[in-house]
Amino acid sequence: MKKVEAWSAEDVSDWLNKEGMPEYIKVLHQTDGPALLSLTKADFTVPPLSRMSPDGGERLLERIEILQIETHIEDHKNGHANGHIGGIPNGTSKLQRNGTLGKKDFETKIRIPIPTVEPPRSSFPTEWGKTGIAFIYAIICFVTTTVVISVVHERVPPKEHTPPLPDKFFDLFDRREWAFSICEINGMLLVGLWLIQWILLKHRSIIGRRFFFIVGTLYLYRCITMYITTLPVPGMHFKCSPKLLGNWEAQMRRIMKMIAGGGLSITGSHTMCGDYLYSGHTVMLTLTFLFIKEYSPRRFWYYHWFCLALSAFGIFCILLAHDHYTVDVVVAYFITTRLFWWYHTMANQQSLKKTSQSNLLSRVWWYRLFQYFEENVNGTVPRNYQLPLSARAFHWNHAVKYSRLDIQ
Amino acid sequence: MAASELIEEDVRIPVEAIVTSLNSPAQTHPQRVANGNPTRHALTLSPPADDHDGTNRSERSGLCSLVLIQSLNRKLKRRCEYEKICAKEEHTDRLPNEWWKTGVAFLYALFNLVFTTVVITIVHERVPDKSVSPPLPDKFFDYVDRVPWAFTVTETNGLILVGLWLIQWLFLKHKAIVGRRCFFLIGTLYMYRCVTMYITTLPVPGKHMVCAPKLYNDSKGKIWRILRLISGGGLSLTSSHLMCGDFLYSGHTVMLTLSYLFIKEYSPRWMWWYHWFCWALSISGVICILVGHEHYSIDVVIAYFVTTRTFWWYHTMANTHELREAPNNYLSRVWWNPVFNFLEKNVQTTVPVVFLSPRALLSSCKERYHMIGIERDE
Repeated sequence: MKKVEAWSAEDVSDWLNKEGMPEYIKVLHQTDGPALLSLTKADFTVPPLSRMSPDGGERLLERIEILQIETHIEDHKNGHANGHIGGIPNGTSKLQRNGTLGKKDFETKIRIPIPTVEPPRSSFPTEWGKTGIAFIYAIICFVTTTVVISVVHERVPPKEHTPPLPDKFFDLFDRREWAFSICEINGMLLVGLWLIQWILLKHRSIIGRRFFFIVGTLYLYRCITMYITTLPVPGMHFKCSPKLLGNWEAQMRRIMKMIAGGGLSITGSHTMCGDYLYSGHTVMLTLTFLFIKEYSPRRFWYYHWFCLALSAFGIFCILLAHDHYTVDVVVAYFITTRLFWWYHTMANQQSLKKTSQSNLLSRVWWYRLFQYFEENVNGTVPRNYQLPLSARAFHWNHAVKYSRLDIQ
Repeated sequence: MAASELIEEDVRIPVEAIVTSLNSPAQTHPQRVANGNPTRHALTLSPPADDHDGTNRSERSGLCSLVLIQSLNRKLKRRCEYEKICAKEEHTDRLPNEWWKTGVAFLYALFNLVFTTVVITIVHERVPDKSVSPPLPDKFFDYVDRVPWAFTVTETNGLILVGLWLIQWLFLKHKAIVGRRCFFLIGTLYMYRCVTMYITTLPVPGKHMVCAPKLYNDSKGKIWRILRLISGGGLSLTSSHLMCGDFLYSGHTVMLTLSYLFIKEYSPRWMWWYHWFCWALSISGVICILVGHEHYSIDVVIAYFVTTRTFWWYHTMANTHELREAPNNYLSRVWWNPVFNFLEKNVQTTVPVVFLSPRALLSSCKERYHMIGIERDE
């Protein structure tokens, strides 16, 4: 059957006959295919058509539409898909069967909504406000930690009264005095490297937010564990500053000194005892390494191995110096890694950013805070680098682009 | 996908014909030829209108419509093919039972429980004496004095919760999968406990604790102790818990928390009263541990933390299937990821909370024994 557009007047008449509408033949004997298709309701309101059709031409118009559809189907047979077909097995065709005379039963165009799963378009809005909030949260947690250390210091049993607890590592390895300095130097190196790397990142606001939040939460947990049960000093070599029972002013000064020195023994600010479970040094060493590895190009394996060595050796030196119990270090490592991986899994997986019955990661207490921070971040944050304060963005790594395509 | 399926050689146009005769408005029921396909588009066909003769029109239209219906019927039968929709068949494969994997998990849990008992016995030898190392300062102990019967409450609650969970588990349809998860988590948590107990030994939390004497080199005596502890389940109620040193972290908290988490996870949502009851049992049990001065607060807090995190971690990995192929699946960086893959590889969907009625349970048991009987006969 040739296309309607190619019909001549004769074809039209034949068709009208076939369709059982011979009354129109006389009136439409001049119309050919295109003209037939262009008939509208308005044409039936004026003579001569108005005289011929009792129903305002509806039937004829319907038949014309069917004809159009049939030719479309022919087209589809020949490979021209254009999206509106009736009666596809998996389509959702709207049918109105209401038992009337059938005029309304017919749906000419049936829309099939095909749910297209569009990959979420990545967007990484900077939102420095949220990073600021995360920063304040971290600062609050740091200050709280220092206050709690100061409080706990008053309750540490003196080493003569409660000797150091038995520890497997201490049984195997004797104490080395220089070890703790190495640990702190490694820690400072790692923090410095991470800082430089962070400044060079393009999406530093998002990543900074994550760092501050995780660090803050880890120190908050640390406050709790330090406070509820006080472990005795791990070694007789400890020199704890005297207790300032009730002397608030001196305690405040001690707190300030600790904050100023960053809690490090090298700076002479860590003279208080009692902050053993769990080890803050391990937290910083582990966390900076995790962040460095996560947000640097994958091919910098030598850099990753170097940082891993710094981190591992630093942790080993904590124990070698008998400055923390083994359980402090193990618990700190566990909590840091779990929190880091938990947060990043939720951040990278869109389906985990909504609470649902199957999303059990959402049952942590900080889930709302996490949603607040990460709601507008769509997709995995790419490792792009950009010098700060300059508009020039350069991509170190072509592989970064590939990984973006992979993920999306 | 959709486009290529649409363009096919023999285009199936499922049709339904609603035949109405237009000139008889009184006719209200159009005759329909349905051919059973869900989506149709209806054609209205009208019999050839005849201007001249009005009286015979209705009869003629009636006859015409009948003819039409018949012809349509024939055409439809020729043209339309039926599509088979396979729905239920794959469903059973998505949650395969694989009882042998549950067996492996059970052995893993058993091994870890026995290992824990061995470690407790070893650690007991190293616990500093009460006189040498007094109990550590603990905030909870400062506020709440010791109540002697509190620990019995804890253990009773623990037994009730474990019993409830056992009954619930028996009635679950997907026992094998859920049991596997339970055994794995118990095993892992007790293994972590072995590590933390062993590396640093905390002193006894209270002067009331009576520790059995140390058996320095008496291996036989130690083995007897291990067996006694295992047979009593490590409970004070059964007088099997005479050894000290297993403080960080608290095994009682682990059992209370874990059984509550499992009960809640695998029971219907509308049974909120049941959840609240179990929650109350769990929380009161945990608080009573502290009230009885049997563990430090830190033991309980760390036990709660490790249990909940591991439980939620495992279940999220099991339920979120996008994670399995995702490149940034940090959850898979845990050391037990290979074990997880082994256990959950063939579980392709979230385990639904479906229970079997007691009759169904008995009949399935009978069936299994019957089949085993047949196999043996052969």
